[in-house]
Order: sequence, then structure tokens, then C-alpha cells
Amino acid sequence: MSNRKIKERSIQFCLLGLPIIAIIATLVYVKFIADKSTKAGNKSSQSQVNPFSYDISDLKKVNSELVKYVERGGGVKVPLRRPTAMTIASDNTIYVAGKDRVLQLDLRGQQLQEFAVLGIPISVDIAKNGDMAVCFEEGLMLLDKNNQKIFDVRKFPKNTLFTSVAIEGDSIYVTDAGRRVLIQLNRSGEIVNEIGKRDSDAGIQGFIVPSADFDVIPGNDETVWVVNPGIHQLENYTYDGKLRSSWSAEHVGIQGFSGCCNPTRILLLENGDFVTAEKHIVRVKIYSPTGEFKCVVAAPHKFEDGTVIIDIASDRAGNIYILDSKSEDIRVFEPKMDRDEKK
Amino acid sequence: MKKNDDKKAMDRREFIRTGVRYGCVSLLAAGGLYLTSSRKYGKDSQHKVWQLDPEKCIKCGKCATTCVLTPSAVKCVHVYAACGYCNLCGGYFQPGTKKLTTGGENQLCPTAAIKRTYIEDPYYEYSIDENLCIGCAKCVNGCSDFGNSSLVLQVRHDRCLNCNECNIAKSCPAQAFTRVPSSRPELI
Ligand code: SF4
Ligand code: SF4
Ligand code: SF4
Repeated sequence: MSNRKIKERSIQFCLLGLPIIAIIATLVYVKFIADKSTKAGNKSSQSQVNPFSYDISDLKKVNSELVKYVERGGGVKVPLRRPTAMTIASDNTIYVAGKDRVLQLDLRGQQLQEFAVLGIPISVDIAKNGDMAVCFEEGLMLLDKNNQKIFDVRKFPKNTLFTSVAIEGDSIYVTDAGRRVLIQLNRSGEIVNEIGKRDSDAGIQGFIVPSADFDVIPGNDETVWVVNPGIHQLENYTYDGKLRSSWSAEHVGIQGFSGCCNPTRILLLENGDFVTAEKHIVRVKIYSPTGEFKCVVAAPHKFEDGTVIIDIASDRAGNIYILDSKSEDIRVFEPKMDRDEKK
Repeated sequence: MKKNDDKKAMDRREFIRTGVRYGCVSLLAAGGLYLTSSRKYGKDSQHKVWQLDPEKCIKCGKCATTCVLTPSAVKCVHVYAACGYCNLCGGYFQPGTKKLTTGGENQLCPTAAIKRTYIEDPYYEYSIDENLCIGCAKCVNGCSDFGNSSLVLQVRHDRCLNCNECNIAKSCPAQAFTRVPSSRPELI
């Protein structure tokens, strides 16, 4: 190429090529480099304090002196995936339920028996005579201790949403969060009573059930205890549906229940004390028979974020068993021995 | 002379032709680059609008502070089907409130945007005044910590400018923002 041609190409490049390269460079800068620096700026702003922060960490703190139980290492391994319910029978064996089956375990977790049930059990209860009641969202089953079906009813009124079952005397009681009543059935699976409907004359406010947490337990004396979750109240009903007594503990602190639908699970100890499990601020506590806060079994820091306490139970020694949704195992909390006992 | 003039004229034509060639190639390259980068940032989505996924949102407060609009185009939305209509609504009351009354000191919302209407004892309905709501997510936090998570944040499309690059999307620490079809603009 002659010198003249080279000169001409250079002039062409300078006049047309360079401005276009400059345009490309600007576009690249705007799209990528500037964008990156904005992102970097945003990243640093991510660490800025949220002026609208919502902090309930103080409410989760518990004075360690109030905690009277200590977790036993290991707990009880549950040999099924996604357990949905648990109870401990009077013979000190654990019943744990999952899809299509209920397992009977000893207190170390050794499997003793398996019961086939069709569906996902929501709650299980064992009568003193060994009968087993299993409730599903829209069904109820009763088996005897030899695994023989007594009844299996799957057809209930529209909007039924069962959440918990208890056997007491000759009756089976099921809480229905859909219709906000406690249903009482006989051993043939027939509904004999609907308890807890609003009745101003009888002083019954009615169950306020904002979510599917609505527990019932046997009361040991032909009565049942039911949680009225919308008002943080435990209510005691006789076998013929009369409200006998109640207590409530409305408080955002450790001594009470707060938020929607607490306590989610309750349990009656042999001495008449209640064990309660809560959601939102996940914790397990003990109350006296008349509702005075006594102590903490498991403080919120014992549970991973997002844990749901699926069920609670106790053995004859007074240990508390907690079925934890995160580990899918049963965690065991033993009463701390006080100094005098240790001596 | 004539021969020389012809040569000069040809050189000029060639000069312009070559220049145009360079220009076309460069413009094509620039256009390609621009389109690629635009695609990356979602500019091709003509019938799409910005929305945030409540499942991903960690309620950081940036929806209130980084929208180009003041107040933000993000508002609290009440999913009534999921609400317990509780007297003790965790989205309405400050945690630890002793009196469950409508007094300003008991309310969680910094702008008093949540209205509470008595239905029957002990049920209340909670509604949001979107003119007052700034999208700060305090109530969303309270409702998920103590209730049924029926209060959620959503971009309101009667206000949102549908910016090419949503400023909140750029700073959202949970990558909760996404483009959704304008025919189905909500993620609840
Ligand atoms: S910026 Fe993201 S995480 Fe923060 S409140 Fe908005 S959607 Fe939620
Ligand atoms: S607390 Fe924040 S997000 Fe909720 S209604 Fe009030 S301003 Fe809106
Ligand atoms: S697209 Fe613009 S106006 Fe809409 S929410 Fe994002 S920043 Fe606000």
C-alpha cells in the first residue's frame, strides 16, 4: 500500500471510526460499568439500618432461672418422614403418626407395632384401654388395641376441618376448626353432641378459631380441656357439653400467650399442671391447674427459626416430649433436679 | 488532466464508501451490544409489569425508601381469605400493647394506614388506606410474626410507573422483584 493510501485510510478511520468507537465505549460504560457501580452503591445501602425495623427479639429472651427443664441429648429418632402427630399412652409407649401409618415405639425409639391408616393423620390419642383414635382433616377412625377397626368415618358436615382428637370415657371428642365446634361421638362413630357453640345464657362465648390450631385433650375425669385460641383461653367441658371452668393468660411476656391461636398444643400432667406449646414465639411452658405461669420447659432459643411444635406428650417420669418440625424427631426435656434432690 | 480528475473523483467515492462500511459495521456492533444488554435488564418485556413475590420478601423496608415515587408504589394488601379477623391483630397492634384499642400509641403502622372495623364480638376487619400506606412492611412483619400472614406487600399498578429498571428491584436484598404479565399483575 502506498504512503498516500495509508494516510487516506488513517484519515477515514479518524473521521468515522473513532467517533463510533467512542459511542460504543460510552454505551458499554453506561450499561455495564456504571450499572455495576450503582449495584455496589446499592449493596452498601443494603447494610443501612431499616428505619421501619420490627424487632421482637427482646420478647424471645427468657430469664434462665425460669427454665426448669434440660434437654436430653439424642432424643427419640422417628422412623418415618414428615411425622404429623404424637402421643404417649398410659403404658409409656410413644405413638407417632405420618402418612398412612401410626407407629408404636418404646421410649428409646424401638418400633413395637405399626398400624395402617388411610390418609394423613392430624392427631392421635390412646384411651386407657388401648383404643386408638386417629383424626384426619375430614375423617375419624377408632381402632382397638389389637389393631381391629371399630369405626372409620370419612363423611362429616360441609366445612369440617378436624384439628385434634381426645378419647375420654365412652366418648371421642374432635375439634373442628372449620365449624368452630367440639364434636362428641360415641363408639359407633355417631355424632352425639356439638359442644362450645356460642350460648350467652350458658356463658359460652363460642370458639374463636382464626387458624387450624385448636387443641383438645382428655381431662382425666370425664371432662375435656379445649383451647379457645382466639382469646388465649383453656376451657373445661363436661361429657354433656357444659362449660365447667376456664382460665386464660393474655400477655405478650413469658407469663402469657400472645398472637393468633395460642397455645397451639396443650397437655395435662398427672399433678394437674398444664404443659403448653406456642407458635410465633415458639416455646413450651408449664402452668398450674388454675392457670398461673410456673416455669419454662423449652425457651425460644431452643428452636430453629420457622420451627413448628407438631405435638407434645409426657411420660410417667414427667419428661416432656416435643415433636419438632425441623428435626422431624422427638426432643426430650427432663426436669432439672433442684439442689436438695442432687445432695 | 481529465484522467487525474476522474481518479480524484473515484478516490472521493471510495473514501465515502469505505467510511460508510466502517460506520455500518460499528453501528451493527453497537446495536447488537445495546440489544443484548437491554434484554438482560428486561426491556424486551413490553406487556410485563413489576411485581414482588411475598414469599421471597424479607420485609427489609426498602420498598418504602427506594421507589422513585414518594410515597412508594408498593402498598400493603390484605388477603382477606387468609385473615383470622382477630381482635388482637399482630399487624395492627404494637407488640406488647396492653390495650387493644384504636389509640394511636397502640398502632404499629407509622402512618395510621390500617383501619379497623368492628364486625361482631370479637371479630374485626382490617383494611388499608393506600393513600397513607408507604409500603414500609412493619404490619407485614407483625402479621407474619403473630398472625396468619394475611398482610403482604404488592406493587400497585395504578401508581407504579413501570420503570425500565425498577429502583426497588435493583436494591431488593431478597431478589423478590420480578416481571409478570400485565394481565395477571399480582403475586398473591
Ligand atoms: S425491598 Fe424486597 S425484601 Fe425489602 S420489603 Fe421490598 S420486596 Fe421485601
Ligand atoms: S405498616 Fe407500613 S406497609 Fe403496613 S399499612 Fe402501614 S405504612 Fe403500609
Ligand atoms: S417500577 Fe418504578 S414506580 Fe414502580 S415500584 Fe419500581 S421504582 Fe417504584
